Amino acid sequence: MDHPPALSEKNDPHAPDLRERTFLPELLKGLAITARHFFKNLLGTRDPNVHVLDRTGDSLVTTVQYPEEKVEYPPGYRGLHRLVPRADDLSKPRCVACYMCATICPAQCIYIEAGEYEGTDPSTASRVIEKFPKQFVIDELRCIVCGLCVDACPKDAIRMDSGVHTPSEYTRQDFVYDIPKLLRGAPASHPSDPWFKRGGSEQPHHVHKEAHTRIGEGLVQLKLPAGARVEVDRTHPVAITKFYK
Amino acid sequence: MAELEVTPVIATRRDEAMGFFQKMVSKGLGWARKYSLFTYPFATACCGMEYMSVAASRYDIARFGAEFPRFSPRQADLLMVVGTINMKQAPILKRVYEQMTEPKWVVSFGVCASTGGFYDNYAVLQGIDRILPVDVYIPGCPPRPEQVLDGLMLLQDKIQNEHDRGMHPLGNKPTHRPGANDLMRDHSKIT
Repeated sequence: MDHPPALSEKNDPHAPDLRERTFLPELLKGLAITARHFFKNLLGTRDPNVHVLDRTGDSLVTTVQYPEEKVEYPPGYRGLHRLVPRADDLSKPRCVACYMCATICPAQCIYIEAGEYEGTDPSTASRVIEKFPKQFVIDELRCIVCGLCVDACPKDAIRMDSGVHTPSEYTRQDFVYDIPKLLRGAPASHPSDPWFKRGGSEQPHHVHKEAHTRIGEGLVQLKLPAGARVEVDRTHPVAITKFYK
Repeated sequence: MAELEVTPVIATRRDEAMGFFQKMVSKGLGWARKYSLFTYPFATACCGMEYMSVAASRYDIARFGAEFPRFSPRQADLLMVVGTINMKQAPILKRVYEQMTEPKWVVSFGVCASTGGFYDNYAVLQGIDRILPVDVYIPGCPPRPEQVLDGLMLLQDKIQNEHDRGMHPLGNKPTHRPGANDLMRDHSKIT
């Protein structure tokens, strides 16, 4: 059996030549690349992808001088949590302590203690808000910034739109954010919010009108044309309403 | 006995002078140390990508003098724990920390290293501060490079001001710190 001839410097087509064996030209090539980048950065690069806030000079260097210059966060950036204040009372969160966010949180970093508004409280008598968070604590050092709490919230009460990142700290206790630390930013309001219902010309028919009306409770009186009448037949298993003109 | 305990320590002029010089030396050492942090990146998980991002040219960590990762703990003085530490990894991490020479600092990078994150199970260490004394915690999953640089600047402040916390001027850590754990106690037995 014929063996291929042993490779030696004479018959190896890939053997390095003298230029490659001295390494000197290759070394100079590498140094030239480094020097080129150095002078490019020194005299201003033409990097078109520089979006840096607070840059003072006209430099186009890629490096962000962080504490002085900042990179703009994208609009959907999930930053530090905030509890959205109520539009009618900025000192109260919109949160109604339903535990949705605490339930869905995969890191279980949200702790809520629910409190109940007194029914006789005049500021809440005509409202349907029954609960509020006595304590709302987020351990930001366990939070994995997934945003599921924001999605789960039925009242739009927790958001991550603050646009700032969670700051680093020396101790673990500093990362425990409670209501005074979380409640900030602009309030949000929606047409269905209960405090909008109060401002109308007529009183609500029942204090619990919107949230959970029991069957037959707080029925709205129909406005009927003159001479018309409504008769409810309750002899059937299902009440039948008859409308006479 | 009780009176002896409340008697204030009388500082002689010699003591005052010694204290002054020790403070000056400490300040100089702190200044020198905070701009020459040699990092040992103990990268175990996805946060390692973000560590690379901090080290790369966009958020150049070299601007803070911490650009030189040493892959031997004996040459490093900043242990960056980057990523989830599970129970099998914990003794290795502790050994790496013990191999580092004084003065040394520990940065917990990301929520997994700091608290275990959402890996609240039997396999994952719930925060490296159960085995190491941590100086700075960096939150985020993973942290943005800005957060890492924030943490690095906090650490630099801490290093600069170590003479205010009763540190020995030659940089040995005190034998007890609040929050220090069994490791530190073991360490004080050795030295």
